[in-house]
Amino acid sequence: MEKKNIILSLFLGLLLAFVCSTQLYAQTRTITGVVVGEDEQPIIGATIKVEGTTTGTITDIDGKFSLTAPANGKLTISYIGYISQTLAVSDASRVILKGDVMKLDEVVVVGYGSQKKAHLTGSISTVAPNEISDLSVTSLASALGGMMNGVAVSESGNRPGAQAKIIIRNSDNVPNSPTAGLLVPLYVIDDYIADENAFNNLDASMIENISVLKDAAAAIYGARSAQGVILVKTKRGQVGKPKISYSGQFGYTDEYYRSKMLDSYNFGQIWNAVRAADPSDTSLDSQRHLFQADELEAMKGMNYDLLDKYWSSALTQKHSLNVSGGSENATYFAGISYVTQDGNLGRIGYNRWNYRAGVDAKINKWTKASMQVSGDYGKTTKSNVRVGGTNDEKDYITLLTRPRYIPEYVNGYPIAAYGVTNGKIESSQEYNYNMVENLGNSKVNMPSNMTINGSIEYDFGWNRILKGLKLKATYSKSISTTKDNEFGSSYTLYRFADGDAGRGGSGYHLYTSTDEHSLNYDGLTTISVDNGSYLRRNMSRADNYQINFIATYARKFGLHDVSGLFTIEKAESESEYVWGNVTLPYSFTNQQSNGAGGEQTTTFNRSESGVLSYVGRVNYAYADRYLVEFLIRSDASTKFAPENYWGVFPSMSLGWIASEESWFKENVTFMDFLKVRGSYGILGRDNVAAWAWLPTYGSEVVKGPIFGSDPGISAGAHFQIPNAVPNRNSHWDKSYKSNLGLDMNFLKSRLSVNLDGYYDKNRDVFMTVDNAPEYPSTVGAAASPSNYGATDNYGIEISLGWRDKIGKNFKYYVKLNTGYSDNKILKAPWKNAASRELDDIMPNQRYDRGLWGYQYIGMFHSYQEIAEYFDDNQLVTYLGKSQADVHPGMLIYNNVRGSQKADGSYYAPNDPNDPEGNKIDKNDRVQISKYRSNPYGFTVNMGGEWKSLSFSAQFSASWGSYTMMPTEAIQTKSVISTGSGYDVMQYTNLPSFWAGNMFVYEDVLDAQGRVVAAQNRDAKYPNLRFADNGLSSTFWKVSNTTIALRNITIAYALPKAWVTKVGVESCRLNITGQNILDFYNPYPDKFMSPLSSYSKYPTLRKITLGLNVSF
Amino acid sequence: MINTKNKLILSVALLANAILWTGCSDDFLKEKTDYSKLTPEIYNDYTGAKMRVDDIYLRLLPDVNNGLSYRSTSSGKGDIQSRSTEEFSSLSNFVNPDVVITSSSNLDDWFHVSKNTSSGPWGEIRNCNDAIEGISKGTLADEQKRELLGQVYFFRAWQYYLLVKTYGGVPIVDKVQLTDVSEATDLIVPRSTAKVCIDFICNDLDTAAAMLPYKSGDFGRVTKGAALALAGRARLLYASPLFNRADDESRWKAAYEANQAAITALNAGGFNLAYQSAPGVNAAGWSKMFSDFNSSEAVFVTLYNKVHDDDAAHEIYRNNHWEQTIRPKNTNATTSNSGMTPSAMMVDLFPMADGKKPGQSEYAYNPLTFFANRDPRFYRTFAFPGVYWRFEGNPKMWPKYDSGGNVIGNLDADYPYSGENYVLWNYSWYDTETNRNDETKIGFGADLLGTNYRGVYVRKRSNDFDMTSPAPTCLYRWPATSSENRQGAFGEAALPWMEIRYAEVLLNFAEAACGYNRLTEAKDALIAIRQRAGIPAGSDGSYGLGDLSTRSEMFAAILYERQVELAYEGKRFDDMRRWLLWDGGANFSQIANAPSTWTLSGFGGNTCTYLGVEPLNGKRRDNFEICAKTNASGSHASDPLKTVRPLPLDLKTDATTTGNTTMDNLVTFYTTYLMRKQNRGDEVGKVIDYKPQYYFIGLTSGAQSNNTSLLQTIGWADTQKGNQNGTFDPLAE
Repeated sequence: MEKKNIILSLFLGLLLAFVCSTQLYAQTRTITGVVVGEDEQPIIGATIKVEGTTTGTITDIDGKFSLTAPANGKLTISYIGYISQTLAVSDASRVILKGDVMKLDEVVVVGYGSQKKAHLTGSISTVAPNEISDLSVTSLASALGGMMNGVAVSESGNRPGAQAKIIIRNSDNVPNSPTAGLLVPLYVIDDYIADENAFNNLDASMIENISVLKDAAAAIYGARSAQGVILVKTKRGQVGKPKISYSGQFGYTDEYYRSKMLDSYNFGQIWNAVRAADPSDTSLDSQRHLFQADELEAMKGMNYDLLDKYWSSALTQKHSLNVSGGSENATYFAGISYVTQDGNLGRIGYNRWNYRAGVDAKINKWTKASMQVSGDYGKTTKSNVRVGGTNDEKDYITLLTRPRYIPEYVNGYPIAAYGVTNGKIESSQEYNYNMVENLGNSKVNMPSNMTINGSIEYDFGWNRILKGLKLKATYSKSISTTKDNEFGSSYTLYRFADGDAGRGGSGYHLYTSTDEHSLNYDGLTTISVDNGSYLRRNMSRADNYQINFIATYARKFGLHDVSGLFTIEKAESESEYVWGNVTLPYSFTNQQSNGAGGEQTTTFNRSESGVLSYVGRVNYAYADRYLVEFLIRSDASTKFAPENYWGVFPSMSLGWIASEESWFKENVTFMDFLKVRGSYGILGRDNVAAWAWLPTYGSEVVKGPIFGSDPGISAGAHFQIPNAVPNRNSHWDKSYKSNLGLDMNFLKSRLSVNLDGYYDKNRDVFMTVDNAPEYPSTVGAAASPSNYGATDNYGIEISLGWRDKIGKNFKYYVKLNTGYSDNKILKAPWKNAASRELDDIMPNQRYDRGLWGYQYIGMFHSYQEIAEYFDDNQLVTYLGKSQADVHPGMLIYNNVRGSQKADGSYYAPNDPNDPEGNKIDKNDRVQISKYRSNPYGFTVNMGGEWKSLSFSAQFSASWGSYTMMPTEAIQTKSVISTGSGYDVMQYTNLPSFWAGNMFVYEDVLDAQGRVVAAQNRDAKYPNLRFADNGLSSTFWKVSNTTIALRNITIAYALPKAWVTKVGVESCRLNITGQNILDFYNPYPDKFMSPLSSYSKYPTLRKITLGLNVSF
Repeated sequence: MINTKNKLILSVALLANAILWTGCSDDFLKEKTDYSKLTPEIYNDYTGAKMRVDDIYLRLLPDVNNGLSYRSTSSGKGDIQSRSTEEFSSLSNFVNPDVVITSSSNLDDWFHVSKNTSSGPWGEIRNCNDAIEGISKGTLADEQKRELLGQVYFFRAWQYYLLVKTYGGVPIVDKVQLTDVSEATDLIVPRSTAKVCIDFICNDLDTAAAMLPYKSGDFGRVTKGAALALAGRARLLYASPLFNRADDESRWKAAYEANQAAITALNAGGFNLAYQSAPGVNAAGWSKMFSDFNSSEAVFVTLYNKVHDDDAAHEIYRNNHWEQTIRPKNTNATTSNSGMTPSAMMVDLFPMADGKKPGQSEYAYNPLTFFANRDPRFYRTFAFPGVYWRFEGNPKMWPKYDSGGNVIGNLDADYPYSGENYVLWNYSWYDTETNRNDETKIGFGADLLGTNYRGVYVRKRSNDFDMTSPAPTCLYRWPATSSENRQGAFGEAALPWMEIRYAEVLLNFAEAACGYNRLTEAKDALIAIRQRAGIPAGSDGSYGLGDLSTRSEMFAAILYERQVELAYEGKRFDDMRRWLLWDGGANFSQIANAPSTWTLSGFGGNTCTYLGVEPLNGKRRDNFEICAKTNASGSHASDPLKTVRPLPLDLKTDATTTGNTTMDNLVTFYTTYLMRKQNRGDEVGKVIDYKPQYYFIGLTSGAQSNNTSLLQTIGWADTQKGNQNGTFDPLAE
């Protein structure tokens, strides 16, 4: 029998077995009642359950309920945010629920089930969807920034559709990691192991709960959990009449900050001062190489700000519609959502549909089944720029940094961004945003994912002995497909003739006329530009399934609370792709392969993998005070050789709720809750490329040996051993994680304090090892990525929460997250002492070696100063230059060290024994900043509620490190350019702070002797001519401190009295802003913002109006 | 309705069932396949496995174009090895008295190269081990496995043989090792002694021989005979004075038996001395065998092709550039190759026509008319002014360039020959007598050779038209125009390279037999070789060998025969190392910490004295040229002898026949118009100085730092231990 059939028959078997079982009946009565809160307001949607059964209902709009229950039975009444109550049926006519300040009943998803938050022994952070649902994001992770301690979110960019990435407790600090992309948390959605994309594609409105397992508690996902685990539980149906909710967001996005650039006139002057800065440069032609005075005058009126022309704010919107409801025997949930974010430039944009529908059915009293189908399909459109190299950011960069005296079109002719010399410095100058845009060149990515889950659960509650035991089988299957379309074509630009026959101005530099020389169209020539000139399709499909058999047990024996879990998990995946490319599309192309006349290429391939796991968990709690959890998981992965398939990952955690002790209750009044918990366990990683253990062979169809008797035979095929040889020995790498935590509530639970300290010892860490001397050459192959390294990661996390009321109506909360983390690299392939540089990783030092650069001690203002500096320091060379090549306008760097000795140490500066003599070189760098990224910081999430009005906000600050100004802002260098030197400035504008602030040694005169850049020896900044000025140095250091109001929401809930009249249960309006304000900008002239980047697609500010209605 | 008990049973059964089907086995994981590359599955298919074996051929067949390397032997060119012997002058680092080769300078690294599968001996050995393990574990039929495995074992032994002859003793890695750095200490394999290495090599070769056929249907693949012949070579190496300082007879015996077995197997496979029954005139048969694509002489051979391939990236070509290397510049206008100059020493040492050495022969030896009455092989080993050296092609068609590289017409106008009429007239002339007498000055060569003339050319293994009549089919493509052949004239050539040829096996056998005191058998082998070369039997029937009644005389005769028979085949350097011929092995005591076992106790304590030869150390090698006695200016037109040239010597007629008027006229021409001018070979004032520690090459600092646990050889600085003297003794037993 095929495997699938076996699975099917098993399901059917289980189904049949339980359909036949009977329900037990007892004497019953019908109970009606009402549920209200402490404020006497009815609670709508509270759940009423008959204890020991699955019978239940929910309250209606007036808080009323009615159900049949045994006359002597008990009812449990619960509602989110309130403490659940269990009452005798007779006491249930009016129930007053108390608000749950301590949230002791809160349930947390912990992997293959959930646990009472109070009983947690691991370090688990959670986010409720209502905390993030007002935020407008297209990638779920983006909404989690600052929400959880130890969970860092980084954006991959700001363009529509960019995906955010989550890193838990800095677990990506692995030097020489062979597959850095795999150092991400494990994502589990409804117990189905998914990936980062699947997580990011979820819609917040369909999520019940997100938990992040940060410590050894993640061992339930053992092998792949060393990076932490993110668990998502999606919404399920609730018993009751159909509940329909709609949430919508409408808003716009716009740049948070636009970098300030030089205007045409100042650009012209700076160019002149740069071009003429080197007195030894005899090639300078003062007419052809400098903007002439008449040209500068004309440039005062020129402002071809292309970014301003094409940038616009853009719309973003989201609509989700969810329906849920159900009877006692079946509940259902269905939701659909659509989100779109238009691009601020051209045709780029993103949209996505999500759907999710599920049914939970009770087949009989002891048997439940559920089915769920969910999925998404989206579309990301990106610009496609291949002129002068592929770069997704090129559109924005060229628009921002195009010198503002160069128009895009002259008299209707599209022109290349040719600068002073009217020639091509590099191909990027021939990228013309509007031409490419009009040709429809783009890259479109259309992924679509569908997941089907089914499960069946059988409860042994009817049996006296087996009571508490449940058996469950689940099957999940997902199919992911993607379609990528790319289109690049070619176009024509125009170029004016050189000199007198061409451009305007007395130096022939302008695309307009001046009084001295007019623009001449006669010499126009064409430039043919190739934007890839290709059509491409990529279709891929990945099929995954996961099957689990789960046995759970939970039972209370007096004060002993025992629960356990055992599951077997099996998963397989396969994927295939077809990739096709055709070159030279016709100008009238239909964008299909018959619409191109070039070479066609096709490739296709397949990959597959599998995982098998055994998982066990035992929890024991005594009197709700003493908590023990033991986890074990054993995983087998095809990433390793069969003998190394299996890894076993146990962990243990303990907890003690001291506040439950009677002596505590009697004696401690200021503290309401105290829990001490600790965990220790081994977790794993398999971050090696698939099949890295398997010997593989390359095939070459030529070069082979000659045999036979024919000297005319061709050298044919042979199969060779690739240089990347297998490491059959590679096995799971290990992370020994320990965590100590303290959870405390004070002052009637108004103040909550959570402290976590962790120490992760990562051992056998996979590293690529290029040069390990102990690895002998006689092996005959390069060393493969091996379980070689060792690192320690440690830190503390502190969360403080305050929640109180002022008066009767004003409630507020403040939560502060802060902490510190650090790491040590114990073993990695170090460089030899003699060749190790100052900023290379070192034994027992942290991965972040900080920022290194030269120590600035002044600027050379004259040749006299240069001579003195050389004399005083007896310099042989200054940054590789002899004294003759050093000029005024260059920064002076301090002579800190001599050359490096064989043992790695350095000669003192000016040491006469230094064999290399005194040099200013890379050995003279100092540590500008101990860290590259801020070690300290905090996030504050706060909110308040006054009657129907509420607000929430997130505020964050971080400090403790310095960074360098972007090199493109302090050098004649462009992000999109491979070139360097002052010529880059021909087509690249610079930030505004340079205006009037750059060192100019002497007045620069044009061909007619007019001053076109004035002497400026007191300038603050050095001359851009000299690239060494742009080296990393203390001169350009800026504080990395950021203080920002990240987001804020103000909401208003329409009074119930109003909305109920029109049949609406609740209606809430909100306005939300993201990336609102920053309070500290250390950059000169504030030419850029620390929250955005200098020359990339900027951080977006989003303002959205939200509407949430439920019926 | 099912009662409770039944339900329980059913549930438990289902649970058990569930565990069984999901959990009991990870077999489904093992069914997963990597589709991105070829997997070891290829070893289960005959074609796939053969492709792997072919890869080993590609990587380990000696390649004459690569120059010396860890995997390519000397192939007769003026490389560092040949320039350490009599064959070529110009001091190599091995023999330059001013150069001391140390582990950190001037030393070629053939041990380590890089930690890589694609370069370095250990990558090759890994490649072999991988194929051995893959094929052995695969599912091919036994017969197919044996056929393929035999070839792989041969090549593993070959790579080890190359290492051992250089380093004396090396680590033996006989399995595919993990590439796991964290297991590095488990991967360390110490150096084995020479004895262990030789046994390992011979063991592999015995395994190979047992599997390989006598004759392969696919010419160029190794055979049983090849495996046994290589074992014979390895055994002989181990019996040679280099390893066998005490002249242990048992080693000679082992070598004798190994080579005898090789000869038996080779004969069974149809291998023999090619053209033995038809030597032809002037060793024509002997000469032709080198360019036979399918020779019975070729025991271990690398084949090349002459496929025209105008795109270097395609690499469907595999060419032997030997012909291009040896041909004079005026046949070769588009390449920088301009032939090779043998040392005067080599020209002078060849036997006379009766097989006896110059001075001992009935023929008088005149250094000016050095070509008169020589061993027939002489004419096929050297070319000199006044001899035909025909080829297929026509250099007249070629453009003529001025000094600035501009075309100024065709060569046609000045050039006298087409390929089929090509005569080498490479005499020279000088403008002044002072210049003519200055050994450092270069004159002007005849026939457009200009300053690119050689005094005497190495002609050996030339695929020329003077071997047979009609002319043979050539194994090279000679283009009509320079643009037609990407690799230049003679570039696309398929000349095979015989790394082991039958004559060498016979000579190996003779030497081993001599060592084992089977002098008659040794002499018979030499006679067979001389017979094939066309040397007359002589009145004593000894083919010029004489009595050779002692072991030392016989050894000397065998080594001399090797020097002649195998000249410019890259074998002499190894022979000299084996026999310690630079200093007779008298200087081992100069090596610090050399064990007493290193002192030569056999062979009278000095192999040179024992053999009656002069050590090469202390000598200086020169070249010579034949120049006109009359002076003339340096231009093609002013050739002073063009009009008085006699008819050239045609090798299709017997050069030694008395009464050969062409020969007589040429001799007269030489004595009348020409003189022998000594040209500087080795630097003035310097004599050959091969230092005793070079007999076993040490490890470079790079090889050591990439294998830190390896011990350095005695006599070489151990860079891992602060440059202390090495401690590894290859000769330890």
